Amino acid sequence: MSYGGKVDVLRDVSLDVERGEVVGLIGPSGSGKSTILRTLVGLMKPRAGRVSVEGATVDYSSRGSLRVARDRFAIVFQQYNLFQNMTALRNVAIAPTLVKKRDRAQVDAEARALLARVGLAEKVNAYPDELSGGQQQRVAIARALALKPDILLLDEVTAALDPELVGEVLDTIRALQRDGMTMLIVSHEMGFIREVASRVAFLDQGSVVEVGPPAEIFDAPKSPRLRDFTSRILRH
Amino acid sequence: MNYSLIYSQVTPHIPYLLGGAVLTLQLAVISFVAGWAIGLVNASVLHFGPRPARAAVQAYVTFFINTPLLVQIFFIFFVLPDAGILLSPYAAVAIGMSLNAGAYLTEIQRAGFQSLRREEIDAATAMGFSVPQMVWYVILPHIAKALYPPLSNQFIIQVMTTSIAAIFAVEELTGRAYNVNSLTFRSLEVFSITAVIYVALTLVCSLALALLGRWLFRVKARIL
Amino acid sequence: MTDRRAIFVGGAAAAAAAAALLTPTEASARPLEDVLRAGELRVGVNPTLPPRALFNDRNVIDGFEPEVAAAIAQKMGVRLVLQAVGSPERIPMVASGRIDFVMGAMSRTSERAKVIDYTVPVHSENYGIVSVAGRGLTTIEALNKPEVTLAQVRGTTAIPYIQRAMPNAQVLLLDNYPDRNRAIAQGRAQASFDGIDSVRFALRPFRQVQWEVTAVPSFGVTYSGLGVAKNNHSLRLWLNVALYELHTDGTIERLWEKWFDGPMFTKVPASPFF
Repeated sequence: MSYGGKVDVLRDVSLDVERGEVVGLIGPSGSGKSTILRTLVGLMKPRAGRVSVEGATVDYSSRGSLRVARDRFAIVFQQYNLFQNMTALRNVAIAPTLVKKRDRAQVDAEARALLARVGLAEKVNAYPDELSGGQQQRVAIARALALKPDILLLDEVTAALDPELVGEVLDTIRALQRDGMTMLIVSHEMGFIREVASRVAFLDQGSVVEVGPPAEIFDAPKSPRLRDFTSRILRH
Repeated sequence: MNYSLIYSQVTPHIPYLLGGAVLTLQLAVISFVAGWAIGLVNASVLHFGPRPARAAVQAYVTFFINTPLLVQIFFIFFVLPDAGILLSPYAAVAIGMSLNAGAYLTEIQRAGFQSLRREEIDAATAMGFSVPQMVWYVILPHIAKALYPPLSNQFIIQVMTTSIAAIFAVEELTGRAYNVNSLTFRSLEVFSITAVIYVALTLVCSLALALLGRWLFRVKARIL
Repeated sequence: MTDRRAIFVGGAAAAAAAAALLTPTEASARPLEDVLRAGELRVGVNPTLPPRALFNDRNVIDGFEPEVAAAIAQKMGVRLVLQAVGSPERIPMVASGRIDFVMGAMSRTSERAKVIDYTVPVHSENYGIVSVAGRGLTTIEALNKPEVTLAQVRGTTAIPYIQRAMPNAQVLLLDNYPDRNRAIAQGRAQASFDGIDSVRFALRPFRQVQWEVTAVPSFGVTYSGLGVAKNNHSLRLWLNVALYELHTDGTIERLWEKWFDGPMFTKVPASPFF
């Protein structure tokens, strides 16, 4: 996958992700990490550039053609972004039934299985406001998985959580990695990125500055900006 | 020489008045549901639509909020026939009340759109919801919940407003009260009974709305 | 929720207030001597029934009834205060003494006489059919058909007659005579069976329509008196005497012809006994 363009927020972003690979996106606040993910799912419209999945170019120009992008990508947000008026089950099942017009009974069965997979088999009928932040985020992950995406995009999924709830969400992501899910993860949890990512991209001021295996990025940064960033992070 | 209340001249007419109350409720429900649908479409247009459509909606709202309902129905009832459109009294009143309620419900629901959680819209957009799907499945439940009190108030207002129908030959509760009054001259008796029926009607409606809100939208409203 | 409860409370309060209003224990109708002592006669007229009463060019209440009321006040030697009243509040206003008597579409019926006392008649009410020429609707039989819609004014005396004599006709009850006439002119209704005394006056604004007015004398005549509070005998008996004088000296007929563009269809005989 490559993305390149001249836009205000992002420029010179070029990144390839292999099937089954987990790529971490790190960088200071405002470096454009989340913007990349939001652009991929069509929440922001790129002015130029190209995204291709398995050789097919994704067309971001219209609502209709965007559907293709949404077949490929699913996103999990920092604030979970669950539908407050729906149960956990309905949150997970609604898009496949509504958008992809799949059979309701079959989707519901899959949704239950997904909720069980993220450890929430007991909570299928709970509303978001009855769940903890960690549980809500796991519902959000199940909801993204229900779309059967080629690539799962995780946008600071633990940033809004209380520290004691971070573990359960990270465990869920670890399990996905073991199952071979292709993921693009934006996170400040450097230890976690180092653990699950096969490669890490460092962004600064809207550009990819350095890409490499975690060991290289964290232990032997080449660019001064990355060196500066990691030293500040590690000081914490 | 004091006036003495004698209800016996009026009580035989109570079933007739209750028949009018049914009509009153019918008109209120029809105009509320239609007005609510108009308001929802309008609020969607104001939020998502192109500029000319937004201007058209704004003109509609401005017109209907700034002219009396009586004048609006008068127009539909007496002026449209000159243009070859002759609506039955019931249809004219129902349409007039719906258009009028539509304007108010546009304003109310616009506030609901403004209070939307951006996160839910993002999620729906990212998952590929169309605008109508988003309005129906995400925005509407939010509006119903967040705006439940003003929406149910609007319904009660619709119940009261139906009394205007009497002027246009619809025999709802107020119209029938006038009829019984002219027959018996027992004004105090007729209109006190009518007032009690209206109070009962609004109490029942409020209770029904509160229960509906609780079951449908999980509105944590106290009942009475 | 608070808002809705406020409505309940408001509704309940309104009902309570209505109930309180309904028992006018303190305010009550004024006997003759109270009216004389106050030096002021208060009369209710309905200005939506021209030319019985109307708002004139200067937006002052004028018409047949205000002039009759003025003649009565003059005989009484007191000042006249006219009060505009509508159909729902006129009886409570008489009962509570806010007005001393009420005029305007006060046709006598035995049902109404249970609630209000009538003086001797002031004028007759004559019935007939108002329609558009060429529709052939000039008899009760022609009107008594399901395809005929009669436009009537809500609260008028003809309605019970229609229900009895023309049960097959559809009835469209409107708020006032201009609306009724408009409904017939537009074809929303085919005719109206009602008092035809004021029809010449009422049809004036609809000159483009070829009206047809047919009197139906077989239907009988009703009489309108002044509506006085139940048991206010001192006032009612004095009013009977005053009306006798106004009938015999020709005042009432003169005022009628002035406002109704012609003589009363059925003369009211001035009887010295009442």
